[in-house]
Amino acid sequence: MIIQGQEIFSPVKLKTHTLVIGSGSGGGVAAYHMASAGLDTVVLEEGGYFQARDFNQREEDMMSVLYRSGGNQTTADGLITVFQGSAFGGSTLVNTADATPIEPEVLHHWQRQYGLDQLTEEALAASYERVYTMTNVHRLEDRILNRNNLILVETAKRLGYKAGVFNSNRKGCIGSGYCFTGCAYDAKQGTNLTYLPKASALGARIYTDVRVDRIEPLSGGRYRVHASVLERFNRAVRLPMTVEAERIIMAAGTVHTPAILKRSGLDRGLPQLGRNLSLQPQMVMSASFDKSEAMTSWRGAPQSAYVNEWDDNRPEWGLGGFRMEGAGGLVGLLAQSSKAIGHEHKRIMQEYPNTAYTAILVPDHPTGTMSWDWDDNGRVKPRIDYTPTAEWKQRLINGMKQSAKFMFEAGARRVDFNTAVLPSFTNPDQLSKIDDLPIEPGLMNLVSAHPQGSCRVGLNADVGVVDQNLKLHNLDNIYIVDGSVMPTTASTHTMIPIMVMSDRIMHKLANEG
Amino acid sequence: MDNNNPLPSTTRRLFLQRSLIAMAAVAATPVLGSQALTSTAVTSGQTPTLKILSSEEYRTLAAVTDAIIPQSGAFPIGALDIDLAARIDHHLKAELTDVVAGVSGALMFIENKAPEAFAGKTARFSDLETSERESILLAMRDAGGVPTIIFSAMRGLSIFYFYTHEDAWPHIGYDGPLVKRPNPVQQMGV
Repeated sequence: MIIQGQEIFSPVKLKTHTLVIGSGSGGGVAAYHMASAGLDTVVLEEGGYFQARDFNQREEDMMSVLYRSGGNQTTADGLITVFQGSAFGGSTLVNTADATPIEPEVLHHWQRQYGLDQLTEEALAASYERVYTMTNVHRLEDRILNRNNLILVETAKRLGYKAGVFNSNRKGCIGSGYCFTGCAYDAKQGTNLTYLPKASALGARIYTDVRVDRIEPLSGGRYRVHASVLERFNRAVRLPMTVEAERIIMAAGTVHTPAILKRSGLDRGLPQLGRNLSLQPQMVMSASFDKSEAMTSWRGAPQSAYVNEWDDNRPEWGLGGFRMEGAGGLVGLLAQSSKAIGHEHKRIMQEYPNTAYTAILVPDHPTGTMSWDWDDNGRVKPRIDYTPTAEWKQRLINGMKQSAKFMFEAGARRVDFNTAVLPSFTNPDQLSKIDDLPIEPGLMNLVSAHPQGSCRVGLNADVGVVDQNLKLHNLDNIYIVDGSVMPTTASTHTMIPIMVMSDRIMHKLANEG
Repeated sequence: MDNNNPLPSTTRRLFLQRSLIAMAAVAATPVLGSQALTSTAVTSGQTPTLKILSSEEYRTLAAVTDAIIPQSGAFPIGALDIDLAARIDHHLKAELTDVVAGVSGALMFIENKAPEAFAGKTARFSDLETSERESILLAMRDAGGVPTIIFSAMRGLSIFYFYTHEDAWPHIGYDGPLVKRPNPVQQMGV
């Protein structure tokens, strides 16, 4: 049963065995396993319920209703825009359906650095199998690869570089190109089309437009959750809701899960809560080709190929180096590449069809912190403090130079970055100017779609928020299964890693009865 | 000053000087108050019905968007042809108070302080010639600090809402969405 906020007309009081907070990668998996086990399950999702027929493939409409803060969430200094889905299905509704596993070197790093001996490839193998089957993970079909992405693979092959085509959780994709604004064809197999409908069919009650405000501990390890039914249009509070539960599974995302714990006063004894944040920031690069070379970045699978020549993943630090990935499908955002205005900007935009867009992903170390405030309406105002390290900045600069050089090798006539600083580059000899790039707020726009780590796994409360079973160190019967548990960034895309981490524990809990 | 000049960030002194001027100006802007803004006459026809912005802010934003995406040149239409300032106002959300306050503060700064700080002009931004407005925005971009942040925010808003408008698409070779549907939230009638 799926109940939308606007279908609720009086205050709600519920009792259940398991309450799942959030319906994205982690929450969807959790809801399914709990319902499969025959446990009375309630899911509360703050965002709205939208279906294929609602998605109109327009950024200006869909980002404001499917993303946190309408897509305007940034770090405190404005340097990095932090995208997170906020709707039925969470970020699985608005991502590019790229299915990448937790890299082996990352697991080795977690074992070595944090002592996480239970998070091994062997221990996760069964979860991968279940998740891949449920979400139809397979290599992307060639027919939906566009030139914008193929040029990465072809150029890499010519240069002898490592590159590949993503695995993906699509089914019957027609290649419309609008993954970021919700799939209008039900091709992307997010939790909205897989785990959640199945959980619902098994008896789970899923409420959308309901924001969890705080968790009140009761006797006997039980909890009462105080929530608010929201107005879809402006997120104003309409009605109160309370849910008493024997178990709480938190999956509100890296920014909001710790916020709920903090507001509930449940952070006592958890010094790592809100710390160790990774953002894996990305820089967007555009490369203009001759008019005869149509890239058509907005059609086909927008992010379907990668160049991993410069990956430097090691057990000493997990993910390292940088990676190039195709990007497309967002005319309003991608048009911002370059620093030009006026007639020069218009000349650049005339080259939109023959411009290739690439994201340069630079994995980071978990150095960010978060704090939160709440407005009179009870809406959380997260503050994300994140300063890139000198080492990361150097990798970004190297990544920008190597990526630009790569695109010149591919035949680009001009390369631009999303900064207010750098000029357009017309040949590789100019790229040394990137060495002096000041990586400062306001001078560039970086993007994060993979925030992780604010409630990381650790062997004890001094070093982590949850244990290896993803249970809170300081309280019984509360688990966290979203990206916040990752000790460091898990992979270049985080949907599958979160699903697998969630599946491992939720499957175990379900089978324990 | 043109679009391809590198940032004079190496000229550290100039950078700091400009940033300090700009930050001081931003800090002083709230005391200008609504009275000063009210004296800004709206000269370009009727102000549309606005949701968030004041008519004075609308006028400044229209001038900013016109400088960023002018008419003619590589393709005929520009910001004024689609009333981009009104479109941005329509999409601003009152509940995102930080964003609304940021836009307001940025427009106050551009209208009242930027001309003097970056071009030695005492006139208001919206009273200047188009070429002068573009020069001021480019100077803000290259100044670093708060002015560059304001420039980037205005550029981002303008470009996002211009190129997501269907009238712009034929001019950049973008054939647009495959479905024609309204915004689902508006569809709900709430």
